[in-house]
Amino acid sequence: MKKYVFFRIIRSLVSIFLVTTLTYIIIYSLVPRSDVFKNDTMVSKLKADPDKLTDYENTAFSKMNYIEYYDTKALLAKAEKDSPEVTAKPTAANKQLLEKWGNKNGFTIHQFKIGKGFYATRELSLLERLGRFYGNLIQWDNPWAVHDAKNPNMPRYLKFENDKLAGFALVGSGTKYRYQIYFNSSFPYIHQNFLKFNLGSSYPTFAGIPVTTVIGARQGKTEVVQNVYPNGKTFNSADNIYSRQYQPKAQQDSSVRERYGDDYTNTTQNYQDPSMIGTSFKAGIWALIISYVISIPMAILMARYKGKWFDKAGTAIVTVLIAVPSLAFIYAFRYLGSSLFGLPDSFPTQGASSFASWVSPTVILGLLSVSGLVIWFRRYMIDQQSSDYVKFAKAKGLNDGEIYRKHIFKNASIPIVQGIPGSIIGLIGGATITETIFAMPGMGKMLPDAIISHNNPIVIGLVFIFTTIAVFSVLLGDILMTIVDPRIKLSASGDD
Amino acid sequence: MTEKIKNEPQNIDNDFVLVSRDAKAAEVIDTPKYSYWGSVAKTFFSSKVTIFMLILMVAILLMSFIQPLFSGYNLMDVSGVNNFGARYNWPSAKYWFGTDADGKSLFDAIWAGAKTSVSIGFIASLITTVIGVIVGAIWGVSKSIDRLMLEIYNVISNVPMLLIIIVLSYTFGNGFWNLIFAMTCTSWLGTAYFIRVQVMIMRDREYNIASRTLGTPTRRMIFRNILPYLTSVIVTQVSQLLPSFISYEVFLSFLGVGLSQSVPSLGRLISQYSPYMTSYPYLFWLPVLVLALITVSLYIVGQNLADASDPRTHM
Repeated sequence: MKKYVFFRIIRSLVSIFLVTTLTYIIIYSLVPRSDVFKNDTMVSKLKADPDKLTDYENTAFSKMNYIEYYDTKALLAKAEKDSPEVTAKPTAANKQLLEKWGNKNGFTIHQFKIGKGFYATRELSLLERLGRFYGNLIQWDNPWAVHDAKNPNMPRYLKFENDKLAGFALVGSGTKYRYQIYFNSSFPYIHQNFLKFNLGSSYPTFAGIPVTTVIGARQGKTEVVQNVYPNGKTFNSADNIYSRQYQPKAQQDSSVRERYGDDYTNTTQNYQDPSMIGTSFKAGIWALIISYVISIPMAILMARYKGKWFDKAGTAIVTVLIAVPSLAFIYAFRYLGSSLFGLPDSFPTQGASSFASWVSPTVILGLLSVSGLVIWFRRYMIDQQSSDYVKFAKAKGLNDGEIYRKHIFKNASIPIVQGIPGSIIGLIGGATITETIFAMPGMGKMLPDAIISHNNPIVIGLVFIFTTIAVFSVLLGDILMTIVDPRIKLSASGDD
Repeated sequence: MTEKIKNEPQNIDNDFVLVSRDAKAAEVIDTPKYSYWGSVAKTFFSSKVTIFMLILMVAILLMSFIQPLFSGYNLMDVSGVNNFGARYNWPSAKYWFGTDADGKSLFDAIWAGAKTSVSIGFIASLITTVIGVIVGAIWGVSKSIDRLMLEIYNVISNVPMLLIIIVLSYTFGNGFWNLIFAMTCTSWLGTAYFIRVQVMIMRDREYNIASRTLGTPTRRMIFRNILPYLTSVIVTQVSQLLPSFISYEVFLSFLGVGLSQSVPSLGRLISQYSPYMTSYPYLFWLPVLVLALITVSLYIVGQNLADASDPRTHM
């Protein structure tokens, strides 16, 4: 069993790797590069100044890992090492020197149209881009992570201690983040900073912000919290004290440094609303609960009174729900929700802090998967009804209620339990539609948004996250199944 | 009964007439010849709901393929935009479904859109089913292919279908055939896997083992011995695929990914008119209604056809 799970995890990781790589290759080789600027307002603003436009475009491409780009200043700094006599003047001699450097390093030398300054670009091959993507994907923080020439005597350690600011925490020095592991009252209570995913930086929307921050960081207005700082004073501040990062002396703010008493002064802010991933998960989990709470009793009643009016009515409803496109379904229920219960039509109207704005999207997301669940659960229950153990239980003298509760339900729930994590995949698919219609700031809405704005790094990041969730939820489902029914052995199953 | 006969023995001779032997009738075999499709049709048309749905489906399909030929609807035509009398007319005898912001008839728009949506659904289902059934049949009988295909399936099936379609239609750009390509690119794998399981079940039945022992070649095994028995399963698949492809198209057009700007589709109408839900509700709800009627009728007709084509219901 352990061996089987081990190999399943390996295979899952391979799946994730293959799907992400495939998506990466497909997107970066098939989507025309110029599409990036299709909806970019900066491009039309810079049209009047072709030099700035070229610089802007090349900077964007280099941020997205299409090319390597050195502007005049950076190019000279590089080339001066080889030939110190080179200058920025657009003369033939300089051009020759730079071209010599370019040939050696694989760069092509260009000149700006108007200013005639030099710049250099190098096309990155798809393989190199992929290598960079995976090479930078996982980043471990360690006590040797920070190298600051102006601070050579920085202590390097990892200690578990009762920190004045963060409470009990694994505190690092020489690390990028001050608190490697810390505890607080927000879910999931244990947090870490030592393992970070780097999925590149977002462009053109959320320009320059890391993809993981766009998807994983909290959103909305900043939230001010009161903290007692190591210097003994109490401040109200929106700084997220758990996110303290190393900052070189030159960039430090003296008052902030005074407050924390060390070099870890760079913090992010506290925000009110959950992150994109958090929003999606919150709605998804509740939708999952709602869909099971509705569909299981419904399926049990339908199976128990098979052929009676309840079964017939239920089947008719379920058939219609399966056939109606989810878009029409969502609009219809959103209309019902707003006209009958006065729920907001769109999420941002009342914001994430209001309970009412969560109700409609979550309930609809749950209802979307009810029809599929009911059909299957009813089928399983009815298949069980004619099996020998049910006849035997009847012969023993058990009444219908007992047979359903103690025998049929337990056996029929095995495939349902197996499907619970798998339903998460369905919820992601559904969430793309519901979140878009309700303008909910979650991952599901981000995917179409990123696609429309040609934000390739975000698309790749989301595909990576969705695939990871999907692959591991299937695995988790299989493991859950063996826990519920110990007769099932995954390892012995072989190839079907 | 016996008492009755005993009581009236004198009537017997008068009641019977001698019938001569009819040579022609003797040639006819007395059990009627069993016809599979005849039997399917008989079962299929025995339900009133099915007939109603079938009529509805045929009516909608005819409308969506014939009406656009005469209406000359063009999505990009904005000639009526300044004619205030023509704009936002509620449904009336002249404009059955009312008019929109450009003064165009919604009735024309809906059928032009339905034509695109239904065509995409049909073509994508056809491609998916043909490739899926052929690959699935080979996959089911060949052990070496099975190993490779299972790995591919494990990788692809873990990814949400919607994600694949969105990403592919994004990368290949907008357009009718691009969208169909994006939809069918991986969806056949699901059908193929489903058929593979069914083929494997049939493959090891006694009659096939006997057939193989007698030396039937694999190709004949697949097309003569196995696939005909899967008709009902395949019809079920198709009846589920059709509405789901239409839904995908609607959703993608809603997002603005998929079809090019000049192609009308139900998804585009719905997304375009969703802001009018309260001010001019007919603009929004009529396309939604037609869409729902299309998918529901297709699904129910398909399901009942699948039930009817299952030989077990013919007894």
